[in-house]
Amino acid sequence: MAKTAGTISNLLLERVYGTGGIAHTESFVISLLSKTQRVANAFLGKVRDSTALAVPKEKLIFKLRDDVSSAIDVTKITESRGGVDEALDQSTLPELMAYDVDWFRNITASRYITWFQIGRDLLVLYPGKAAAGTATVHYTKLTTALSVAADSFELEDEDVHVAADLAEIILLARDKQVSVAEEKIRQLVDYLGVEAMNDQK
Amino acid sequence: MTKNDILDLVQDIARDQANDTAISAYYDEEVEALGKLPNPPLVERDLVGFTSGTAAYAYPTNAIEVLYLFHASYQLAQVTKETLEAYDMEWRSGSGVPKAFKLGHEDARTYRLYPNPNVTSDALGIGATEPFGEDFPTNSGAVIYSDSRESDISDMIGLYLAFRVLYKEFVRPSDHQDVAWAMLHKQIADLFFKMGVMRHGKAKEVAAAQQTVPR
Repeated sequence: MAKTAGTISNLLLERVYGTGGIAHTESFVISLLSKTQRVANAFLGKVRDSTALAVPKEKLIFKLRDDVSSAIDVTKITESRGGVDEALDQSTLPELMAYDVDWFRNITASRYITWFQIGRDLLVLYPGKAAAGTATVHYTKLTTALSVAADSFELEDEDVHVAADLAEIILLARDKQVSVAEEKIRQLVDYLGVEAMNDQK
Repeated sequence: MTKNDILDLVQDIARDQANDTAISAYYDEEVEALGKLPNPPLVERDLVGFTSGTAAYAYPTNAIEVLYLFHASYQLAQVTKETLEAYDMEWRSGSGVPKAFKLGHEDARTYRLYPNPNVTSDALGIGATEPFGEDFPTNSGAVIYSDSRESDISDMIGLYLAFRVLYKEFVRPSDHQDVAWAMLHKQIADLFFKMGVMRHGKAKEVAAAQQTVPR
C-alpha cells in the first residue's frame, strides 16, 4: 500500500520540529514533499507513463509542457508499424544536422526515424510526415502533486525515503541546523551515487 | 512554478530575512546562468521574419542564448567573425541565401546572417505559429533559444533556483549575512542540480552536465 503524504509529513515533523526554534506546518511539509517526489523521480526515473501523441501533418517540433504535460523526460518513442510497436532511435540535433542539413524541411516520410529532446521543453520527431499520424511517447512522469495528507506517493515505498530525505534537508536548512543537514546530504549523496559535492565549491 | 512562487519559497526558508529586491535580481541571474549551460533546460522556439538586405536581427525578447537558427530550408551554422573573415574579407556586403550566422557582442543581443538575405520572408500571419510545420511561411526563419521565462518552471528546476538564490542572498555582505548557512544552501542547490535539472536520458549528457554546474 502506497505511503501517504500525511504519514511522511508526520515523520518529518517529529524529526525536525522545533529543534531550530521554528515550527513547520503540515501543509508546508506536504508542499515540499510534492516537489521533492518530482525531483526524486527525475533522478530515479522509476515512475513512468506513456501517451499517444497526435501528430499533425508536417509537424516536427513539440512543446512538451503543452503536448505531454506530465512528462519530465522522454525515454522512448514508439510507432505502430503493421500492428507492432517499434522504437525509434534517439539522436541529438547536432547528429541530425550532420546527417541532413535541411532536416526540418524533410516532410517525405511514411514513418519516423529518430527523435530527440532539446532541453526539457522541446521534442523533435524526424522526419515529418505528409499526413497526420500518431506516435506513442514514453516518459519519466511528473508525479501528481501532493496537496493533502491523504494523497499517496507515486514512488514505490522503497523510494519514498529519497523524497523524504530531500524534504528533511530543506527543513533542516530552514532550521539552520547546518551540520545536521550537511551530514544528511552526505548520506543521500552516498546512497544515490551522486558525485561528491566538494569539487563544485 | 512561477518566479513569485520561487521567491515566496526563498522567503519561507529564509524566515523573511531576505531582501526582496536582491532575491529578484538573483533569480534573474540564475535563470540566465542556466541559459548559458551547454544543454540549457529551459528552451523555446519562435518564428522569425527576415528582410532582404537586412543582416542583423534582435534576439527574441526572452532569449538568453540563440542555440539554433534556421532560414528557409537551411539550418544555419554558427560561425565566428574570425571564421567569416578568413573565408570572405567582404563578408559584410555579401548577399544571397543565408548559410551561417554570427552572434553579436553579448550586450548587443543581436545575431547577423551571412550572407545578407536577398529575399524577404512571407508574412508571419495568423496561424503561422509553428516553425517547420505546414504553415511555415516561405523564406521565413525559426530560432531555438534558451529562455528567461518567469513561469512554467518545473518543481525540479524551481527548487534548484530557490537554493541558488538563497546562497547568493546569504553569502553577500549584509546585516543578515550568514556564510555557513549560505554554503549549506549552495550544497543543496548542487544536489538539486544533479538530481533534477540535468537530464538523465543519455550518459554523455550526464557527463557534460556534471562538468558545468554553475559556480
